[in-house]
Amino acid sequence: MLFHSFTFLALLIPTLAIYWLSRSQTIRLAALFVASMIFYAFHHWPSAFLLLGTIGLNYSAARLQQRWRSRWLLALIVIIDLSLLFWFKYAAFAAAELKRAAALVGLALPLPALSNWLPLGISFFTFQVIAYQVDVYRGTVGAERSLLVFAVFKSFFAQLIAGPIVRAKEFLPQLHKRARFDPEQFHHGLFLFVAGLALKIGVADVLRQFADEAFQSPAELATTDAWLNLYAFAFQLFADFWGYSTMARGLGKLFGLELPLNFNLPYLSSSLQEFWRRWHITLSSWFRDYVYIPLGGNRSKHTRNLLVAMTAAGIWHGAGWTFVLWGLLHGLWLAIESALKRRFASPLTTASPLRGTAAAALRLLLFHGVCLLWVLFRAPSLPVASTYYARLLLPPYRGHSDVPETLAIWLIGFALLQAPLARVMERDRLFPRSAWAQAAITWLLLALTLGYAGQRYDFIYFAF
Amino acid sequence: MRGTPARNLALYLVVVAGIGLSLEAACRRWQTLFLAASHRSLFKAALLERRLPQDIVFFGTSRTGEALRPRAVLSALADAGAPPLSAFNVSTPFSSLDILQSVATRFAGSSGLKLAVVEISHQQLGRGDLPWAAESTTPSADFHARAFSWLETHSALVAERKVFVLNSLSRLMLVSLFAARFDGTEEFGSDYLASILGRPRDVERAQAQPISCLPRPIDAPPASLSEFRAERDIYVQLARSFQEHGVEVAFYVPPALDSEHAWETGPPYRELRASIHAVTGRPVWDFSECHLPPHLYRDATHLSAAGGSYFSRLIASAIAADPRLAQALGMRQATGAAHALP
Repeated sequence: MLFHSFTFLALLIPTLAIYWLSRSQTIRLAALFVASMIFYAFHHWPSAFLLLGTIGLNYSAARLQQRWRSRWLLALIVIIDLSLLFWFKYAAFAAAELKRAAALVGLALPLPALSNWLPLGISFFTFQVIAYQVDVYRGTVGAERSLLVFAVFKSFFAQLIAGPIVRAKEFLPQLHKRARFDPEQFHHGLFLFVAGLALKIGVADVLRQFADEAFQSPAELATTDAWLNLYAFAFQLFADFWGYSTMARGLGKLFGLELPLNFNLPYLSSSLQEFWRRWHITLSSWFRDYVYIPLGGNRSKHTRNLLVAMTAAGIWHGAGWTFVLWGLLHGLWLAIESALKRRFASPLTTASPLRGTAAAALRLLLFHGVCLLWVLFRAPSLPVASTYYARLLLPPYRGHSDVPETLAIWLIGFALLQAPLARVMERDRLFPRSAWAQAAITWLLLALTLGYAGQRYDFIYFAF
Repeated sequence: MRGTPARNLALYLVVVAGIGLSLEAACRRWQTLFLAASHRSLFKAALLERRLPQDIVFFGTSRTGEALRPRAVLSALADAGAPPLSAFNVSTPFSSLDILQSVATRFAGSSGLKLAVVEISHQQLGRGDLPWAAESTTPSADFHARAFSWLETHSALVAERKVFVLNSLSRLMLVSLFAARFDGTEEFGSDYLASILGRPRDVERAQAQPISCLPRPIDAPPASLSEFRAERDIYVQLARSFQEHGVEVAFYVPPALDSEHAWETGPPYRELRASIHAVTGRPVWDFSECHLPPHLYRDATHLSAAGGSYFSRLIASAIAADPRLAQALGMRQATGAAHALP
């Protein structure tokens, strides 16, 4: 079930009604849980049993952990959770690679064909629950006593499939507290939902066609078109995921629940470190807190820790060498950037008259660097990625463009409007405006959504 | 926004609903205009609608868009003794035969229309559903699709939602404010801007060169068509609907850069032309083997602005040379066959 469907509205409206008309927190949570299970089962019902199983297992493990505080128990439940993730997401890839490697030395491995069943959102809810188990072990959060509360924490439909990855410390107290209907929060939630919808349908799905076509046959691309289509993918990915996260936050607010911010204008960053503080914030902070820092952070073997954390982040995104390489290169870039920062003063901190120009140049450089790495993220295989790189960077340089002029308008428009849109989404900036201004902005977003409404596409991050 | 949060929420919802209802009312009031903005062919048709009455209208694909320039045709006809006339090019890129049929039928009965010139080409023979009809969601078992379809049926705002697409918004502005400035040959944003500023592209004239280019004679009609039977019937139907309204019709095959791109020289196309000519009795000018110099082409199948100006004069000569067409246009005397550039 997609957020941008009438089917979802048909689920959302009665759930909201039951939620706010009920005085009992148990009934409210039960309504949320049932709606979440319907939402999840609608796509592929057997996956709902997997979700239920992991809820029961992790609830019990955390309760035992609270009682015994055992490193072994933590290791066991993390291994079980990761095994499920590995089985559903990586086993087929690993088996295929194993077979290929064996074939190179003349061995034929009799490995059975593995199912392609990938439960929706498994990467997200696995990481959420691993963080919970670690937090319970560390004692930063107590094991949840109520199975219903825990079940809603793990399955709340707004964030179940593609995040944001909520932390128990932030979310569990909200579920315990019986929220009072806050009209301002509801109002903000509605606005965010509409804004997210416009980002998804009016921007991401429009740019999608260009990126899809380009990566289907990159060998044919002229240099100009290769770049334009790459920009289209960069903005599509951002608008798609930003749109999803914004809708998720909006939905949370409709139920009186605050979900964390997941994007903060990442393409306006002037360093890769800053980019990762602004892009998919809940995932990058997860890797920071549960991989990078436990490995030693910047205290010891800094470069190794960065490479491990970022390669793991790459693998998290998908089973394929392109993702491994994407993560590894990000790690390498971060390590180089960090070394340069230690050696040279940042041009942005010095009181130079060229500070503004330097910032703009760094932003532009960063954006293009990130775009170049998106090729690996988007390409279905390494050969396709290398062909795309050749069209981008190697001769013959052909300037003739086959893409419609509207693409340039979209790219420039989105590049210029992303910051004002992000600003208007902030509560403190939205509410001082008059009802007319708010409604006019809402209708601009709705018109964009309506204009491009038609075929519905999944969110890109559903595949992860 | 001042006031209590509850009041603000209520006010916001009321204003959003109010704007929505106003947009719904506007869409109902100007539904035809909004629909016109949603597709390039409907847009061209809407431009022509605002430019009626016209004496001559050109129908076809982007090849006609480049090849037949109303100003050049009218100037050549005036040189040949025609009274002051008006002309419009209602061709659109990617026009299929079905789009041609829809647009041509719509204008067949326009008052004042004297002559329709219709393209026959490989591209024009393409078939497909009318895009503005096919874009509506087809009902299915999917709840979302059924709900959307219901909304499309009951709400003009949803039905005409394509007006909010970037291209449509610019078309809406062009058709509402500047329709009188265009002759239909505009294709890109820069063309529209040039016409709005009063500097249309076809003002550019190629250097006069002694290029002679005669239409290829039409073959004897075949006993039966090996291909394009349905397409022939559509062309015949088109000719009849024009004739029923007293409008003369002429068909033409546009030129191509070289024989490799002149698909229309193939036997099935020649049979089609011969059959159309035989059944309708209307002239079919076949320029498929008329390869103008390369500098007069934008690409292999499209003439440049200069090439279009040249070719328009060839077509004007062909019109003037046909006594029936010349008479329909009120020309004092037929000038005789002279398919060479002036």
